[in-house]
Amino acid sequence: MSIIFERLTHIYDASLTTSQVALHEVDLEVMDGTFSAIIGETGSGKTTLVQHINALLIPNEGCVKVDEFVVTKKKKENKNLKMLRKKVGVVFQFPEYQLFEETILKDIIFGPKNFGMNEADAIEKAKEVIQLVGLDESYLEKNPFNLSGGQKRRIAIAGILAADPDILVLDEPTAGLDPQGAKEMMTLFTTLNKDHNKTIIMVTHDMEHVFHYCDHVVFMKDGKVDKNCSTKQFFEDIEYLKSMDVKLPFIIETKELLRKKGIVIEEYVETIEELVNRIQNEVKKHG
Amino acid sequence: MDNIVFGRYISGDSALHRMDPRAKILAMLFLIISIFIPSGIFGYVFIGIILLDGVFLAKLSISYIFKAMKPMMFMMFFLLLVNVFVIRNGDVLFTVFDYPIYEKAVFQTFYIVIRLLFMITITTLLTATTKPLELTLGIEDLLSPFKRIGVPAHIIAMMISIALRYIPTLIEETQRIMKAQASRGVDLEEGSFKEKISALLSLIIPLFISSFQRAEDLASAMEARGYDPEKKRTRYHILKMQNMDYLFVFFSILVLLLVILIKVVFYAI
Ligand SMILES: Nc1ncnc2c1ncn2[C@@H]1O[C@H](COP(=O)(O)OP(=O)(O)OP(=O)(O)O)[C@@H](O)[C@H]1O
Ligand SMILES: [Mg+2]
Repeated sequence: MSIIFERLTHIYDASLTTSQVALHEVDLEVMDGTFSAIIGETGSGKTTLVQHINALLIPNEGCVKVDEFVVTKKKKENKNLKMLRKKVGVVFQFPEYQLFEETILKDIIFGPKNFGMNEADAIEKAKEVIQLVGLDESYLEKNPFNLSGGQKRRIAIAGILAADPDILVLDEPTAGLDPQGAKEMMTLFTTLNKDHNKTIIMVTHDMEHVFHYCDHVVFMKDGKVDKNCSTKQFFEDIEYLKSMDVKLPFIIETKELLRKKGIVIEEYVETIEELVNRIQNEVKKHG
Repeated sequence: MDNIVFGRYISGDSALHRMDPRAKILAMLFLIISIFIPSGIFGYVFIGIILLDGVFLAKLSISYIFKAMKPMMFMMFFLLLVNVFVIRNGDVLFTVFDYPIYEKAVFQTFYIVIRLLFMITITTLLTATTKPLELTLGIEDLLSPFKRIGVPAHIIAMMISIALRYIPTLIEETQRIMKAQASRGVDLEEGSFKEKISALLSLIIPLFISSFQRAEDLASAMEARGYDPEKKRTRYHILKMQNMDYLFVFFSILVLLLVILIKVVFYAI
């Protein structure tokens, strides 16, 4: 079980003179249970790529395979899209704009009901997911439009989680949130990944998040996958990061500055504490 | 989830793109008037040929025009159906389930559909080749003679241009929300009537909310920059009609006259 892209090409406005090749023969496999980051500069095709996973976009060439589902350009063969969409939950950038019911409960159970869950089960599920996203049950009877932006986003994410997808696709989920709110979101996604076994694919521009939370990195450039490796491998290749103008995470940058000053830390360090300990050791060694 | 293309500006460098917006608006008016002259099959074939040339001049493809019509297909089909069954003039052509269909009904319906198709083609030609800002300036200029009798030319032009400016944004927004709700299992094509209504609501409500939000933001932004519709304004771009533009308008008047001629010759009043 995994997500496989095979020679996937997507062209926007294919019939027009203004046509745009957004993806060019992308080959990619995302393993089950991973927390992958999709990064790359703006316009590199990240959103286009992830919207193929639940067939919101249909490939012009090639295909996407998600378990038994195969999506190709042949419209007739793309059956069961609804079941695919139940399996793959997509959270859009600024998902708060998709809210529309008069109570939060109704909005959360909207998805599950569309996917065929009965109302009672859906309400049970709503109670479960509202706590998962860090709000309590008292919110369920409130009007979603009276909440803050961050709260609305939690509700929107709860609405996706309520359908119990196996794969969660997040397109810049923390854009526009305050640092604390963003951190809570990332913690939520980590919990979903580790404790609820959901495969997570996250599009992001925040290298700190990639560094601290993701285990795989897919680097996109001009509609192609330029690099696909573990987070560790990705951030160890400093030359590559520099050539691609990737903003270094704080820890990597600090290590790099230290190296220039002659303090070389070979190990891959993941936390600030660890980094401080290493520096202390080095300093002691050199007396 | 096909792209909606009606009303969108397509950047390009065709003869129509370079034309003065006022010339294009005037030509559009003349062509639309000529559509509404009941000039029979000959007249419509003639206008059809002229419009084909227009599509060619704008370097658009026929399939693009059809794409622009797609959202209106449903409405047209409905119109067609109602017309065919309601009009009861002339001879009976044939019967469907014991229901007589009249000759006039078929012809009239056919003409209505043709007119609609031509209207969409003409407006698409205008909006696809004219930047919204140019369109505003054009409308404002054309309305300026009426300022003397109290027509607020600038305000009307500004309202039209804001409306036009927001067509693509609205389309984009619609597609975004459609995708978001499709991810939540909304299926606009299948399902019972009740499900369809709920699907439609899930689209319309967020669209209204974000539109009001946008309108408010825009109004604040304009006010913050001291916009006052009553003030006299200067322009950065000064429109200037070239010989080509005059020729173009002249040509559209010619089309109108020819259509009138066709009517008089073939269908004397
Ligand atoms: N609806 C659309 N119509 C036409 N072209 C589009 C459309 N959406 C995206 N594109 C084009 O496809 C390319 C890839 O866009 P995409 O949105 O996938 O980029 P992205 O990597 O998600 O960027 P960002 O980081 O800004 O979100 C861009 O060149 C863009 O101009
Ligand atoms: Mg994007």
